[in-house]
Amino acid sequence: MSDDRIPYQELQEQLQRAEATLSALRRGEVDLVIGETQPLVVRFKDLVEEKDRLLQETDRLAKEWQTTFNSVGDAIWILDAEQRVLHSNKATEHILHCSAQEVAGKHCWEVIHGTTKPIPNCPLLRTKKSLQRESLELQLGERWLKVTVDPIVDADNQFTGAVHIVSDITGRKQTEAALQNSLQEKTQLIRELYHRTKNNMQVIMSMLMLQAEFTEDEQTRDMLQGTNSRIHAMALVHEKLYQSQNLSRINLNEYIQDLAQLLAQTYRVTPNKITLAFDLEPIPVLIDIAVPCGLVLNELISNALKHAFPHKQSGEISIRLRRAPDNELIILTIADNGIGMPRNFNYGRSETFGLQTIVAIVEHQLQGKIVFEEKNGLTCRMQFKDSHYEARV
Amino acid sequence: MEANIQRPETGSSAGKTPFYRLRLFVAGSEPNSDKAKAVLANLRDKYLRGCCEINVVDVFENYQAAIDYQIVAIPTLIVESPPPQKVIVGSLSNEDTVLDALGLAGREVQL
Repeated sequence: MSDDRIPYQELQEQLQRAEATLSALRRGEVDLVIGETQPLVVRFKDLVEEKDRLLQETDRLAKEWQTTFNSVGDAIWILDAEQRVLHSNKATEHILHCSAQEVAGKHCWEVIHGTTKPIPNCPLLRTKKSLQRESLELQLGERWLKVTVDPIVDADNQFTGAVHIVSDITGRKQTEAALQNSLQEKTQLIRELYHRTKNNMQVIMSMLMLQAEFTEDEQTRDMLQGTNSRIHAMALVHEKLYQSQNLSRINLNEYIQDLAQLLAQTYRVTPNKITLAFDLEPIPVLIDIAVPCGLVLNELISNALKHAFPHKQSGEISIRLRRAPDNELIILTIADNGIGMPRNFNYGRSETFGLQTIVAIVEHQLQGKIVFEEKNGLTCRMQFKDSHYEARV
Repeated sequence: MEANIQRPETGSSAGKTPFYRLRLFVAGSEPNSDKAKAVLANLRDKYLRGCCEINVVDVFENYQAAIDYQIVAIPTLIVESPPPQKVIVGSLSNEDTVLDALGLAGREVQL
């Protein structure tokens, strides 16, 4: 009996001592731990302090993260790979009107759409496939929400979950709608303005024509008709503008065609006698190019119609429009196969109003060049840049 | 540093404070060791004036002593007498535990 009791008591004492040592270690009251076979001394205190410091730091970071998470104005959820909500932030309550407890563990579609499976076009399903940010705008009653989903991937780039952000974009949508309305209104106004300008020009044209009718003098009548024709060329630009989609550019090719046909009607050309041949590349231009271009064309085409084919001679007026391969220049060629200009006609010193106008407009307004050439009739070639002006409307 | 002063035990009778032989193992001036030294000095002044012998062993200077006494952690206080021998590990910050180990719980402070 007594032989048994002594080792038992010793065992008990050793156990108590071991427990006391462990608890002192846990309390951080130990400076060193003694190695048993060799004089190994371990500084334990530093480890305890380091552990406490790390725990505090972890705690601080966790709090910081939670505070940030809850301070964001958008509803943010962290979802697992099966699209169940793991965490949700405070804004979830304001934006989706449900508490963190209500959302936790549910599938995202149950909460947002109230459905039993993902909606078609679900951004989360798209993110799962693309592993990229995907988003969707959706209307819930009066409100507009934007759902943005970012994937969470592991080290092997496998989808393990997602960050699901719901923002209330009702305000933005309202602003957008208001802007859209305002833009439409302004567009309407500009169109109206072009329309009225064109109408006013037509009134001026009517007055000129009326005056021409009361004029006995043929030269004056010609002058009035010439001015009328020029105004008509400008009015046509405005007509094209209010019909055009973007309100700042018209298609120069369409304009040229309309203008030439209009002039043919004005000068009562018999269709079979003088034909118009068009070879026009579609080029959209600003009003700043269209108006001077129209005035020049008006002079050149009128001139050809009036003078190139005397005595009911038949012929062709061809108009060619091209953009130079370097994209810089627009090249416009008007050629007729008529009788050409009178002998010894000096283009540089001509004092006729029409020709002066043409040269002045091409060189000054269009900052381009114009050349006349006589070869089986008259050919006029002009080239100009369309990059001087910037769109204003 | 080991100050092993041998002192003959004076006869102790019931009611009288017994003679205390204490051995405190410390590690230089590490914080817990310093704290234990201070606590023990305070206890000596309060309860054990004239009836104790305290040996402070610095393991940085006498490592073998720690092994001989089977010390595991520093600081450790060994109450060698009165028997039975008791061991307190740590910085002696809990005064009740220490007083209990010394059999001084509830004892009046010596003035």
